Amino acid sequence: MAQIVSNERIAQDVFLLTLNGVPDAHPGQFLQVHIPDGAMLLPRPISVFDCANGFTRLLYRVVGKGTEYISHMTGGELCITGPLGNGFPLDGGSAVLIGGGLGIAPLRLLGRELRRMEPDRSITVALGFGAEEFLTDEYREFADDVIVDIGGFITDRVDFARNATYYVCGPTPMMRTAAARGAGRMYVSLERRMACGVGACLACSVATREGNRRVCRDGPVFDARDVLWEVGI
Amino acid sequence: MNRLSVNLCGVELKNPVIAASGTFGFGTEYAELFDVSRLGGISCKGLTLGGSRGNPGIRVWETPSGMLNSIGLENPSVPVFVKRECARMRSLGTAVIVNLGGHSEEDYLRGAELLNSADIDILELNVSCPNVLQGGMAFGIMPDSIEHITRRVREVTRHPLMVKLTPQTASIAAAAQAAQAGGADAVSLVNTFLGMAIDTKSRKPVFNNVYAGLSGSAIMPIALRMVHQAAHAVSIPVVGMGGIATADDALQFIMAGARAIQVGTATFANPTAMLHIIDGLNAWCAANDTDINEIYKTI
Repeated sequence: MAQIVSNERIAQDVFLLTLNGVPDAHPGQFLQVHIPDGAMLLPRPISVFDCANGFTRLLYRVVGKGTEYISHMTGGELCITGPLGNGFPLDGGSAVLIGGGLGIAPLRLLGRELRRMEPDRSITVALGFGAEEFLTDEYREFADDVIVDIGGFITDRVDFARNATYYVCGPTPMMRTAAARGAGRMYVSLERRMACGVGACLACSVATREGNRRVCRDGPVFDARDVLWEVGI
Repeated sequence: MNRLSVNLCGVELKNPVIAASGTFGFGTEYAELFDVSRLGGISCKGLTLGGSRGNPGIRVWETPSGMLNSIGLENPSVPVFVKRECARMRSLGTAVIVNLGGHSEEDYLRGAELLNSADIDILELNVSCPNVLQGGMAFGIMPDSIEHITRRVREVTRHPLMVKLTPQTASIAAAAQAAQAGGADAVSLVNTFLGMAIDTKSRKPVFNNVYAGLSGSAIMPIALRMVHQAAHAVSIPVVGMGGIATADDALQFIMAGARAIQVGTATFANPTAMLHIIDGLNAWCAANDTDINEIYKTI
């Protein structure tokens, strides 16, 4: 069980939930958050925004009944499974982090960890929002440059020709565009509806060059070149 | 003293709680979360002869007290299971049940033949998958075709044969009798109920196949009624499933005539649901100073 420390509304329908008692996640991992009191059957997979000193922060948007329920919780306990999934590979050298909407969430812990590993490397962060920006200062803590776009296509603001590792998380069309424009190393964090979260039920399979892979267990992070975007995810 | 051990068509199970096919992979994934050797058995992800990539599009959708799924029997194929997964599953320390699906009679027979070389406890013949376009449930709707496919597989397989039935049939009692007449050693029921969901924003069906299989607590009273009907129509053991989430649910199925029970969707809500059920059954039997077999089919 994890204790709810705070659950703050930070933008329209967007909340930042701070938990205590969750094991530290590797950047890019997610938690299965079980909705209390049997209100909903399936747990909700939510990626880890940050974790430090025993506190784990989750950034989520209210999109349905499950996240709606969580958004009203101001204290008490939540049952959690995880951290789950593979997370991002932590390559050396320059890094470009591209997030769209709630896809910015896993890039905070990732960027902080990349900076800690190599204090002198170049880290560029590009964050795209639909209507209003949020939490961008959290990225300025570790990034050399933070590009913010509201209402446009964040992929149009990124130089894909750099000698850097690209880390991308956001809506599928955005990731597909990034994958098409990138020439070098690029990792994408995919999202699919899940049931079990541990690789057993195959609800979240995606087509890759290696055959079907499970977003919850083999992912959510994949090499962008391995994903068969044309098959659809 | 073990108050929970049951005999299912000649196979001793340490308790009557079995992980349902399609919800538990090959057992190894959940083995990282809890001690799966405590389970009575595991029924593996449904296999087909040539394997399948499953259905495109959305595959799961939560509903009131349940969920719809349209996985579409994604599986690595019977030969890959025999080569790669079977020994690992056997090492988990619980009964190994292999669920076999098919798109044609030939598929079932060839699959069953290949599984003769595998070290498994029970073959669960899946004539009830609602999510594949060819075969699957088509074999399980009419008693004649259930009896026919059961008889053919019975001739081929060396393993105890359990036939998994669909609730999409006119009479579940007739379906169970047909499996028994074909030589089944047991029947398991029910597979999911055919359901549907529409995304009113896009004005389209949620699932590419339009219809999908409903499971979870929402179906429990109907599944319980069907298990009761089937159990009183045949002499072979019935394995009951359909929305079982608690020890009390399991007790109801056992009293209604289930020799063992399977748990699926509840594991998604709580990965250790089956352990809670086993502990609850133990506590209930101890409190009532009885054995699980004493309450079997008492209603």
